[in-house]
Amino acid sequence: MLMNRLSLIIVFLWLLAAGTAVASSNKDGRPEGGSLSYGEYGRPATLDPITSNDMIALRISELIFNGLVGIDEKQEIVPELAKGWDISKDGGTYTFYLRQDVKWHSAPGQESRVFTAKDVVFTYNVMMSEKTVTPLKLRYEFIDKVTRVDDYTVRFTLKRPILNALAKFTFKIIPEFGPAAGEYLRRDDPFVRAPIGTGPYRLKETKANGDIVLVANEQYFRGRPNLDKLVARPFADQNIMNEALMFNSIDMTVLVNPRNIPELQGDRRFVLQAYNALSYSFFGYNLRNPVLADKRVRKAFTMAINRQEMLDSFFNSRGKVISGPFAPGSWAYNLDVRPLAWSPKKARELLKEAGFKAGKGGFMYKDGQRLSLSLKVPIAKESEATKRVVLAFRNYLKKIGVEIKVSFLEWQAWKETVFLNHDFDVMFASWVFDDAADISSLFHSAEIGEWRNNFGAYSNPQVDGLIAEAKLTLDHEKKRTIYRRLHEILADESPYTFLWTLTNYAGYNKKIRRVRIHPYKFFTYADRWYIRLKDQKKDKKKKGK
Amino acid sequence: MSNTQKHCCVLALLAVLVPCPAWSDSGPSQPGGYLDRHRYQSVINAVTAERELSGDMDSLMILAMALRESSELHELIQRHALSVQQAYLGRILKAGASRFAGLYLAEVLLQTKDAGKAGPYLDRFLAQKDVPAKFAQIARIHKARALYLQGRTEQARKQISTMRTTDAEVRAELVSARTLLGMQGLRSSALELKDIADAQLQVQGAVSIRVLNRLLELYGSLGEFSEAWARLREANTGAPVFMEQRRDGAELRFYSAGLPGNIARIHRLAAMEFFAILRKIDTYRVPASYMLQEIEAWFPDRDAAAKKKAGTAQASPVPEALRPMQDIVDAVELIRTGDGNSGELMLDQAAGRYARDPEILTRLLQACARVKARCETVRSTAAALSDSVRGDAFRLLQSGLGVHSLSLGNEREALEQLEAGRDKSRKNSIEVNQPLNLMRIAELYRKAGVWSEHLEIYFELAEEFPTARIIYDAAQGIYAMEQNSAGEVKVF
Repeated sequence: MLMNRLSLIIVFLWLLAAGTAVASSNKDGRPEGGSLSYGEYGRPATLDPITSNDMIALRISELIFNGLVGIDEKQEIVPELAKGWDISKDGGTYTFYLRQDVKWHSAPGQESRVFTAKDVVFTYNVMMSEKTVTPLKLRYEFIDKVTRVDDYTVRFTLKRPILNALAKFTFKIIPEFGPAAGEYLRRDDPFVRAPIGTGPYRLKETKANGDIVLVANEQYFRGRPNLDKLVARPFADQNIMNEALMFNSIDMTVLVNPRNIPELQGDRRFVLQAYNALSYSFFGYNLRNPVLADKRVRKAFTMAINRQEMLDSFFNSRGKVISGPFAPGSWAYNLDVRPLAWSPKKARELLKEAGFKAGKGGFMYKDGQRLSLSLKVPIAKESEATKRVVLAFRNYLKKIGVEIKVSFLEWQAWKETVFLNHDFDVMFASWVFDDAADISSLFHSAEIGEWRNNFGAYSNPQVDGLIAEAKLTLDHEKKRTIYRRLHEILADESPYTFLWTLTNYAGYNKKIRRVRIHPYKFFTYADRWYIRLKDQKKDKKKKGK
Repeated sequence: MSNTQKHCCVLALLAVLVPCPAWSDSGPSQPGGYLDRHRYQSVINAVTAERELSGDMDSLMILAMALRESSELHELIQRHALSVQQAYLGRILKAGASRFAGLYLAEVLLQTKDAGKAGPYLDRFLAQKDVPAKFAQIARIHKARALYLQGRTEQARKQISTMRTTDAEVRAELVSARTLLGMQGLRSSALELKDIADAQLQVQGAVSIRVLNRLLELYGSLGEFSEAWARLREANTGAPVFMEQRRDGAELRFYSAGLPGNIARIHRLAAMEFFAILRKIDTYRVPASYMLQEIEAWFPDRDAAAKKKAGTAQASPVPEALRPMQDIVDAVELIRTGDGNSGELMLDQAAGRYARDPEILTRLLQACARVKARCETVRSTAAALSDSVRGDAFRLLQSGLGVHSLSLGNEREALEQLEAGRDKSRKNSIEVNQPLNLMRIAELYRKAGVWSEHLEIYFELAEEFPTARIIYDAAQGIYAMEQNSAGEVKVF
């Protein structure tokens, strides 16, 4: 009872805070108007929050959709589509009270539909449907059922209480009338390219050149966003994206090419803002290939390459070499685990232990087969530095008798090759994590399959067990201990060659004001960004010319 | 002139006074290069090893400078470590996650002289069932310390007067407490600690962090550094003082509450002694005297024994190149001795004279920050110059302004300025950014709940300065509890 009263007080306080936010949106003195075009390093395959698993789509869906709860600038949980909630004493039931003033996006002249509890239930069912292809399932398996209590009340019953459960309800809600298929969502559903949300911006169009145009949602329940329009513009080459920023053809790049950092830092027209500390780059191995299923071979690859030298040479020492599956800025990184030292000699010994012998052309052979592997790299990553990394990897491995055949693929083709068809031996990419540092979808054997994050089919019962234990525990210190152990095991098992963490920077024109960037989702606070009227006028003049 | 030489000269303010030490010309693997890259611990390790072979004065100068910088850095580590440890231990105690958190929280509180709060934590720790005898004894010794800090000396003495132990760590705590309570002399205590450490080394192969901490403390109080310094060189100062293994497999790490501060003190004592030696050599007389004086100004009323030994005399008339620095030291002394107006006026006048010199203006701002003076003229002069310069000069001034804003409690402004002063090409690197400024930025991010930025900085720092790990581990613990994310991960 006391607990209920307490939670009601909390809800009341949150409501007050939310009320303040709504009120401040129109009274903050910030001018409306102006547009912002930003450069992306590729085109998203889908724009919905359920089927996508890349950062480009995540950034757009952050503008179009809302969750039941959100995260504010202080990283606190705040109401979003839910105006409040109750948590049962045992932590097993979460009841959300929904706002009654939320409408789904509609084109001008069309009538907007109202958001209700049905949409919440529908979204959950779609996410968990066997037919839906999504990386979200594992994350939400802790929910037993969801019940629509009435039009504006929805109740989630958990299979068991979990740590930080409330944060999980940040998942984005889609409308019941959205997907053509009804109860599930696949990548061929028109909805994934023409999504309808409740967020501050609605999708206006995707142009033939790949520009994705979003316009202000005049009916946004938190108040109309300040900027009239946002345009996401894809660039295949990061150097060209930077040039576009320097010559004012775009206003922002979400990812500054490392070699352009000094140029931007020295230019007073631009702001360079670091974000997204929790990411790292890696070479991932396909363990379906029997050669790579041998841990000794994977370790040999890691020991054959001089990561520090690559970092120093190609990134001017920006970033840090890491030893395992967490970024150093996360709460889970285990400082006791040191990166494997560079040792081509030991690498060769490991390959010999694995049954390989040096043969023709200096390559390693086993059962008459040359040790030759394919490496697939997304073309969106084809910056000069990345190219050098990939070529250096090839050369390092050549020195221990391994042949690597590199191919660059367009972003979507690469994703299909790696995540759908699993047609690769080695891949190069980066992962980006939110604060939870959840690696379960990357290494749990239940996550092997089409469009799943365990693309390399890594399977280890001990790792599965630890991941499950980490999910079950309600104790933070226990979870930390488990994650430290996971770090140790995965560093030893080397399903990836963990490379380094690099700081991500956004670069933007100073005319964009009050820019707060969410470290992971990027545009979470973009509804409050603005451009001063005099800068808007300047922009109009330029366009007029 | 190479960057290394230039920086080295600037750092020592010797540009026109003395030739730079020969090592400053060598590559980054040499001590001069390390100093230029703020790798003070590497300098200390390299020069110490080298000096055993050569004993030349160039290397002694570099070593003394590195020790001075290291001392200041460890002072800040100590301050931030206490703050983050207090927050972390308080949380796990509240969550009922540890049987030992109360003991270690009390150690942190005793270190901050908050004896009134430490006592109840110790009582609760002792009231638990089956507290291991060793930890119960340590807690009782801490209770005595708390009583003493509250002015109840007799009661404190009674608490430990009959205590007997064979455990090395308990003995170390007992010797330290008995010394504090005036129950035994400082020198005999230090010698006893040395014996405890020797025995521990013989039996266990290493001196434990708890014993090391008390040994540094006592030798620091004596104003002697060599014994403590020798022990430090053999120790892993990033190791926890204790690891609690819970029945459910969880492992909790607890760190020494006073170790970074004691390291700071030993390094400062060593630096003072080396500068005192260098002051007697013509080539180094002026800079060594100045640096000695500066240490005394920055750390007043401490290390009295060492001061007595080193003396404070400024050797000769101050050369023109060193004049602004001397003004700063004099002004700080004036402010500290109660003549704030004259001191601030002196700093403001210096700002007027050096209105186009970003380095001196930054030093003036730092001096103002040390004494928490408003220094409006210094500030406005620095801000005006910052508006008209670019590159390194701009960043230097912004950092200076940030340090000053921080001293006045303007944290938001401080973060903006310190960020503007941060070299983004390698934003967390201590080689291109001043470690002290990185730590200030990290602390401001911690207060703002931006944990990943905070941790990234300490990840880097811990590589060179192992005690930074105290902060990294505790901050990870709070971050794990505070994070409010759904568990998303995306490829890019």
